[in-house]
Amino acid sequence: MKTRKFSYYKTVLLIAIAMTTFLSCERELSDDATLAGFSTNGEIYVDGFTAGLNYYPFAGSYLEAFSVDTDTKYAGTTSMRFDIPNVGDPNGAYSGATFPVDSPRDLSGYDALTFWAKGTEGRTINEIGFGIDFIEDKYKNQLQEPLQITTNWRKYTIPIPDAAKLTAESGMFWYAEGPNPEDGSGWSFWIDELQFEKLGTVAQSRPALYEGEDLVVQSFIGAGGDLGGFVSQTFNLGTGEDVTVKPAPSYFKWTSSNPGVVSIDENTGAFSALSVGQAVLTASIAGVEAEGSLTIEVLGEYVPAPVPTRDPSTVISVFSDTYTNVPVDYYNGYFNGDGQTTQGQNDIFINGDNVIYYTDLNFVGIGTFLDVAPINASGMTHLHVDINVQEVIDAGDQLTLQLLNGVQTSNETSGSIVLSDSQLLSNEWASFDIPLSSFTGLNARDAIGLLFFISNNSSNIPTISDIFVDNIYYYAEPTSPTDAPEAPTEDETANNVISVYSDAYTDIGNDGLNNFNSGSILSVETIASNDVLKYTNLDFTGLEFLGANIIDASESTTLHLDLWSPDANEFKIKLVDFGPDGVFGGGDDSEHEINFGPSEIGEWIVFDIPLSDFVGLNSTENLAQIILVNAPTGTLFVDNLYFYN
Amino acid sequence: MKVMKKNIINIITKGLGLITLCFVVISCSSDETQTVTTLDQLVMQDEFDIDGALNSELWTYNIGTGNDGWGNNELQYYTDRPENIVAENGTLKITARQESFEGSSYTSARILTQGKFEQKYGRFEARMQLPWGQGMWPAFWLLGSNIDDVSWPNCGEIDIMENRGSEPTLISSALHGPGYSGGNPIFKAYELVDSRFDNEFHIFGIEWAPGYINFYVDDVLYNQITPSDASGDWVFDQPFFIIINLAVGGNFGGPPNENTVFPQSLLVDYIRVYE
Repeated sequence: MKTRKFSYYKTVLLIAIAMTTFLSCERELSDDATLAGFSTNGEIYVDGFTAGLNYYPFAGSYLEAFSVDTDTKYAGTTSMRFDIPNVGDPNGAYSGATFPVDSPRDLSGYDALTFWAKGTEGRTINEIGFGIDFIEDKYKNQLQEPLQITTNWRKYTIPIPDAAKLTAESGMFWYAEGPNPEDGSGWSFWIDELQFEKLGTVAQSRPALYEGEDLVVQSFIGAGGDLGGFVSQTFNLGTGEDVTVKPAPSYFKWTSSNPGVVSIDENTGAFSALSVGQAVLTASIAGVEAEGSLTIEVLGEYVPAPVPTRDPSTVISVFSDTYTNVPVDYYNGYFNGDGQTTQGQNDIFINGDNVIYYTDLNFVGIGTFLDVAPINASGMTHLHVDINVQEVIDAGDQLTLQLLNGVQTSNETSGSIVLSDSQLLSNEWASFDIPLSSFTGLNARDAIGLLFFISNNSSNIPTISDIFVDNIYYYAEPTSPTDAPEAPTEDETANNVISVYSDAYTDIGNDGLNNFNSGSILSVETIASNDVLKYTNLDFTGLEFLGANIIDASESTTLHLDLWSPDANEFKIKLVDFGPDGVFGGGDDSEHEINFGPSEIGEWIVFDIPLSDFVGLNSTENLAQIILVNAPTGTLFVDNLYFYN
Repeated sequence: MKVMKKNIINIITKGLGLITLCFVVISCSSDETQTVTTLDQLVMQDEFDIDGALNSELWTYNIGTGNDGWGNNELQYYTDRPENIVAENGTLKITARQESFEGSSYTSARILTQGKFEQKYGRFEARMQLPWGQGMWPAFWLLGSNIDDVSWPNCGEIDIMENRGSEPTLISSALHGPGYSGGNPIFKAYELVDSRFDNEFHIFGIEWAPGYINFYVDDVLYNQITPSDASGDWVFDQPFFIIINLAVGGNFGGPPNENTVFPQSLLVDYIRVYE
């Protein structure tokens, strides 16, 4: 028996909401004025429509699904017939409707909706109940499981969760049923003697929240949720059989043990965390406490991890709300047999943000090797992870990140890096972008199966216990810029610009922008409608200005250039002045090199270098060589290279 | 603890004459209506108004599992612990629990008046709310006081009320005697149409006199058994004692299942015996 759950009536809800404001005054009146006495008639369809009964098919359903049948009936002269379409029926994908009455009924004297039913075959009616009134469905109720119908007439009972609430109910009956999901076939069923009854034998109400489980979650101030969808209620019928219904949250009274910590709407079950502490949320119906509860531990203010900004096409995400995550086996393998103590996984959800919360950490693994494809990070360059240590960080505390490739294969390799106490932050997010090349020993990364977080120090003693983790993803540093650098703002004349290479100015002549035969390759690339110089296989290169092209920068104060590097190579720049003789050698040459250290990765960096920093230069009147150094060999993009004052 | 026992055990020695008188009156009219009785003189009552243990002058406990689950393959171990039997708020509460205890998976309780209150004829009634769920087997019944001499079923057994927890609207009564016992007693069921036995109190009783036993629930007399109904000897002209118990499982209704809710309690508001 397959349980199928459709949400057929959702489109109808839109209509219902639209009508709410218009009709709400009527509802309020009815709540207060029940003594005015709505009809207590419990009949819906006994041998024909009760007065004022309407038929409202749900959106997208087969509109003609319901008909009155004079041939087949349980008693009297007619019955209600419902036809479920086959898959592909152009008239509708399923059958579903609600039957509200024009004027509300007082059903508080009844304990169940009952009817006789039979089908063309033994099948189930997916959803069936009462309380859809097209207004707010406040007291909607339905069987929790699909109703099994046989080919013989049988009587069925849907208990009323708390009849005292139903003093003004319009939604008499509703159902929804689709074709057989396996073979696509439709069917028909009949319902007769449909009415609310006081059976007197519906008893032993057993309401449950979370199916009777006592759940504990951590949360933060400002977080909220809704328990209304997690209730059920089981009755015992006079036949001795149990029937479970799924009542709307309004039937329940919702309670927080500590409303100052977590408040809860007593009618809807919507809750929100207000302050640090713990609160137990429970529900009761007609004075009977529901089994099961939700305990919320409010940890404090929540500051989310920085939202990742990398291009999704360059990312393989393991855990992030920003990207689509790859399938994982688990976020905590609970290797308890191996001495793991770590608890927690991806079980914190706050303000739309999923966060991993590991507690009692010694080690924990995120697995991608059992039932899911291992991660092929061959094309990736870095591992990103945001970590928020939920305790004071002591000297010597550390976290080791370990990656395993080819888990449980003969080619298994692993490598790890250590995040030290000075890199981690207490109760703050620290973001790490770790080059995969720094995981020494990880000889392949085409099938990464485990990422371990290990808090043990070198003496194998756990240090850090509780951490939040977010935004675990592999990414590839881009190999070339996708944007142009900021356009220069110097005025060509007023600032005496001497431009070597720029789209913004008239460039001076040169005697080669890639000299000295170091093996570097120069090309001009147009990126974002802007030409830039691209040096590949660059170790060092010389840009030369000889004879008439020699640069007199004696009136300039500054050398400008924009640099884009795909890696953290060391960048150096050297200027060579040929001296008064204007040619190489002759004893009057001078030069100076500045080392800028590792480059910022993947973004245009603006350099405005005072010429006075080139302290080894005797003069800037005869600048003949600009030498760019990239160590070790790699790629650099250069633009807007000019002198100015 | 036992300062003021309101519970009366008046075994009235002059009762015999009264009963005889009553019988004469009854027999005059029972030809027509079969029901009239004036068994209205209280000779024993326990209202369970004193919290705690039961009145030891009236009740004893059966402990353990008996032989083969008290002869019925019952699954419970009977104890006298307050977890299984206690008087509180004016009610006797016999509670069946699912727990591992002395090799059994369930515990419950069974009390009897054997040797403490035994009586021939009269009106025996109890006001009770029954447990519910598959595997529950509450019973209010009488056994012949000579059971140790003549053994069962020659001693006779009067089942005033038995119920299967899986049938919350149905109870039954039975007479067991020589030739009509075990699976073949004189038996009749009684069903509530629009209420249940497990969510409110009902009165279960017999009117027992020479020549007949009437069975009733609340104000409905639903069965009369006379010696002519018995396929063997009529053994109901001697003293009997009272037993109240809540069995788990057993031959009557079968074992509990996964839907059975534990613990379950049999509540007894009072037991009264009239002559």
